[in-house]
Amino acid sequence: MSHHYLELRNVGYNYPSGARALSGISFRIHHGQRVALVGANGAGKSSLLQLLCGLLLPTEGEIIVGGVKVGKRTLRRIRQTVGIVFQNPDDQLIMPTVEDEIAFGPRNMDLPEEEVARLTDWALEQTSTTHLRHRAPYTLSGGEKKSVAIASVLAMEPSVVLMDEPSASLDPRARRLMMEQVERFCHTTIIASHDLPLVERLCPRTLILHRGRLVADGATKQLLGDQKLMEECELL
Amino acid sequence: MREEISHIIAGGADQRQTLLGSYDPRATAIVLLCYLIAMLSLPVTYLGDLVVMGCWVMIGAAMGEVGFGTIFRRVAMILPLLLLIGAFNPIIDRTPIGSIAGITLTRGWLTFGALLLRGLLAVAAVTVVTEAIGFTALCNALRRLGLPRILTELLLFVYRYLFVIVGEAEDMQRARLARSGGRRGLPLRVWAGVTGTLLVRSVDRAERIYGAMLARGYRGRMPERRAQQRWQWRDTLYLFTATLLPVATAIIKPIHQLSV
Ligand SMILES: Nc1ncnc2c1ncn2[C@@H]1O[C@H](COP(=O)(O)OP(=O)(O)O)[C@@H](O)[C@H]1O
Ligand SMILES: [Mg+2]
Repeated sequence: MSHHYLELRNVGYNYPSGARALSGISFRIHHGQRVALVGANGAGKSSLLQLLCGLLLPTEGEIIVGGVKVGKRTLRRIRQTVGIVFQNPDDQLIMPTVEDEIAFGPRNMDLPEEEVARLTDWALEQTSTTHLRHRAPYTLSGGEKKSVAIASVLAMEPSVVLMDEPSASLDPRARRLMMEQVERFCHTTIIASHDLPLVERLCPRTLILHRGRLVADGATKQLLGDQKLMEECELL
Repeated sequence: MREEISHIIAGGADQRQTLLGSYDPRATAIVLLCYLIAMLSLPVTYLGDLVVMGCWVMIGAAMGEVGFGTIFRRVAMILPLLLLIGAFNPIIDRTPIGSIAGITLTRGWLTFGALLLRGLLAVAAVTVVTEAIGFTALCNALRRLGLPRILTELLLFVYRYLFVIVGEAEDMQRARLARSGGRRGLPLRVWAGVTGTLLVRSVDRAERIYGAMLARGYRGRMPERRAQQRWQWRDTLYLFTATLLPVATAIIKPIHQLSV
């Protein structure tokens, strides 16, 4: 078993308002695996991703990333290990140029400027966005914004990449390009989506959430082919 | 408008190639402060001086290659606020001070005009600087000049959140118009609900933006390029000339005599 893996033990989460978003979630993901998190709207996908990267802390159970337990004291390490691509790139892109946007993470890690430049160049290349480097993020198309958002996460060299509904609001071509990018990842990747064709193509394994509970965990082909299960989970 | 807001939230343009952008941001920060102090300290009735002050902004805009369209749009966002503040002057102060083409000019109208002009000049000057060097660079410069970090980071956040709210208001206004069937006004009762929704939406959006920053390792300070510009002779020259002009405009007598 490799060092970097994710483990959830009986995780539950209540929002401060009292809304119960997740209960009794347990699973393990090994290094380099690509896993889909499937569920209808409100099933708890986004909440789970936020728990995995330490933006929310579990109210029950524990989350372990690469041998480190997620908690107040380990947040800095967790956030360097786990990167998250938000559903709406407009929430993520905040710097005046694409270049500064991608360098935001590495600079926050206090890396020397040559190292920041190397990571920026590498992330631009990985996402085929080198030609956009001096543009302002808000002037880009939806697909380009998504690519820059992905680059800005890759530049931090996370071990785990989380993506929340990556194909939402992308046109067919942008969606295909985004999938090709993800296929080149060597990271452990978790993709929350209800875009079933995308899930089928990218992720050999699927977790199905329904009303905050993990109801299935197995091979994607098998689960998505299970008519009855899919209907019960409001996915058909 | 949507783009304009995103642009502002991103802290302004990044045009280091312009003349204004090529100087040390600290020099530009001092110039801006001196300009604002000099301009705002002018008695409201010195219209002639204010016109001269307007020329300095235009020179700045040319140096920073900031389009008048951008300045006008930014000014237009603030205009309603200025109108609100100044609107009482003409009503309260009706002392006549002269007449133009048969229409009596009152002191109230004059101070109203001057107040408006000063507000617009201030917004224009800030716009020119934030467009030319970026708001983030401006705040970093202020910090390097000795303003406590807590204040500059606060400034950055307030600036962003202010425009997050304006942006959300825009979206809601568009959504409302799309379904209003041509009716423009909004009953007071509905207003209360709309304002509440606007606040909730803005807080949500601001929270998501903040979450995205945290996820990428933000720890309470905006990162900046490590290699910082060295102060050069041309920066000193620029600083002296550019602060001298507005300060001189404000204190030298002969120009005052041009005022109404
Ligand atoms: N900020 C929040 N405050 C309170 N409840 C929330 C919040 N965000 C999400 N929820 C609730 O948590 C549940 C799961 O939401 P979410 O994780 O966004 O689902 P998904 O991403 O699968 O659509 C929903 O019932 C939702 O209403
Ligand atoms: Mg979601």
